[in-house]
Amino acid sequence: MVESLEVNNLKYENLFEDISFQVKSGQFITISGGNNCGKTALIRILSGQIKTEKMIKLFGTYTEEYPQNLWKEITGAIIPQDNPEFLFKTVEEELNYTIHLFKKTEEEKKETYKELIKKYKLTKYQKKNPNEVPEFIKIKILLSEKMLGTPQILFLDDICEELEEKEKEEFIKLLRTLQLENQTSIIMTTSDLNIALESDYLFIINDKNILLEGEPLTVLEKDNVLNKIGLDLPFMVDLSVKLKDYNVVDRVELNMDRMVDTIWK
Amino acid sequence: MEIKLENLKLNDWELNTTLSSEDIIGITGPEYEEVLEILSLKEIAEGQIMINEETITKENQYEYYKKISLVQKDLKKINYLNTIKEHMDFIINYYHLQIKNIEKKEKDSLKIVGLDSSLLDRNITSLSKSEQKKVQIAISLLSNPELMILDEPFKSLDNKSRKKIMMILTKLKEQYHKIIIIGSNNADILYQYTTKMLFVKNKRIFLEGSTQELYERVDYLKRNGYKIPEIVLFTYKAIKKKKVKLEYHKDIRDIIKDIYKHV
Repeated sequence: MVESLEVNNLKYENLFEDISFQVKSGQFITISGGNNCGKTALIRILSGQIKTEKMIKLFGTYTEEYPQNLWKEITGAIIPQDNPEFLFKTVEEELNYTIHLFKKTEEEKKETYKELIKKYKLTKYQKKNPNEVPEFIKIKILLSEKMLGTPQILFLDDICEELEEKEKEEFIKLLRTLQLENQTSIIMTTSDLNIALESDYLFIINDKNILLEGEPLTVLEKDNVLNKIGLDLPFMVDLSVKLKDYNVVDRVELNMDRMVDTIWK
Repeated sequence: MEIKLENLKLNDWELNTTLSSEDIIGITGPEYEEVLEILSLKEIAEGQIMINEETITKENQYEYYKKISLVQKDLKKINYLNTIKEHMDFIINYYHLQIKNIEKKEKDSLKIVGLDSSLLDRNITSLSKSEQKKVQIAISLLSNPELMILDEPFKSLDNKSRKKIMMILTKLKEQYHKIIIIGSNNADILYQYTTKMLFVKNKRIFLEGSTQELYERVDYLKRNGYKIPEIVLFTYKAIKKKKVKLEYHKDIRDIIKDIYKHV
């Protein structure tokens, strides 16, 4: 896999001292940390909202050297706290306006609309006001619009925070589909380590630097370190890791029934 | 401190319960937010409310609602206001709160939640999530509420910040005898931090009692669509499938020790 993003010795105000990492093309990475560790600031920096110099490369070119048009074409960012109100009165009008910017013929537009509604499960919200639909639907509208431009890299800031468990599951499935279809790299901050568990690679930020990184399960096994910085481990990971310390089990088991069967054979 | 609701009716809801400062009370269910609104008494409801020995009637309900604070999920900045002091001053004027020494009251409210009075001049948008929650609680304390209703008070907080907020709420209950109500649909949080639960459904209080005892009724709660705390569900599965004599615990370290004893 080609590296899509390279961060080299990132320093920023009082938030980051020396952060370096790479993201491969088509990879889904999550970045987590306790309150105030700088997750949102990092997404703002990576997505170009906060400018840096000679510290971040996207597909081999420093981010600040990209012409604005090209940058918009290859990247997409969703930062929920920044999202302004939708301009149109119905989800249908909202989506059709965005489709109109990307597709030329009427047939293409109609076909794309149908596909979006189906893929993002928006059928019953078509005639609703996009500003009044549940948070999850708003997020799916925003994502569907961003993905119309098929960005090569997508930056998402704690986008699952307001979602219910089932919605989180659906959202992660959707992200995985988009990632596979378009080879889009996804960089998502999250305060929920259950979400991080679903990604390919996880970074934990603390005290201005990367504290831990690696395949999510391996990172989450460091329960003491994560608890110390204020993060909650997913229950089954926490249970497994602690039972491993007591030699009751020998690996992490995420399924509750299987865990019960393993302990009491 | 005790509030008794008898046939309190509003928007098809009918509530009968007693809320006391002996407990940290949790409310959950698909429409729990509507119950929080009713309890906040912002709208005149039918029925009877008894606060300690005093009966609140429809006529004096409006006056009494100042004694109840509803802390919303998020701190909302008021358009043209910037600092915490400006927001506090606004609340004092808006609710016509009778306060002799406003500056002292504002500083004291911040002190109770563990914040320094120098924060009064900070812009509300510059606060961290944990500071925002503390400031929301401090603002709600300006009216000396007897009942404090908090909607998802731990949302967006990591476990360190959660513990700090919980310490503040416990202090308000223990030292100032305030009735604390936490509304949430997060079963793990409610199980961890409350001692009494109200499960609401179909415009009624469907089930109420001790948090520990009610969450142990796993089958019944599941059948009625409620989420079970993961630590309870695991214990329940071990007891039901393997007939292991585990006890229900709140702390994962306790259940680990219990499992170790029973393998």
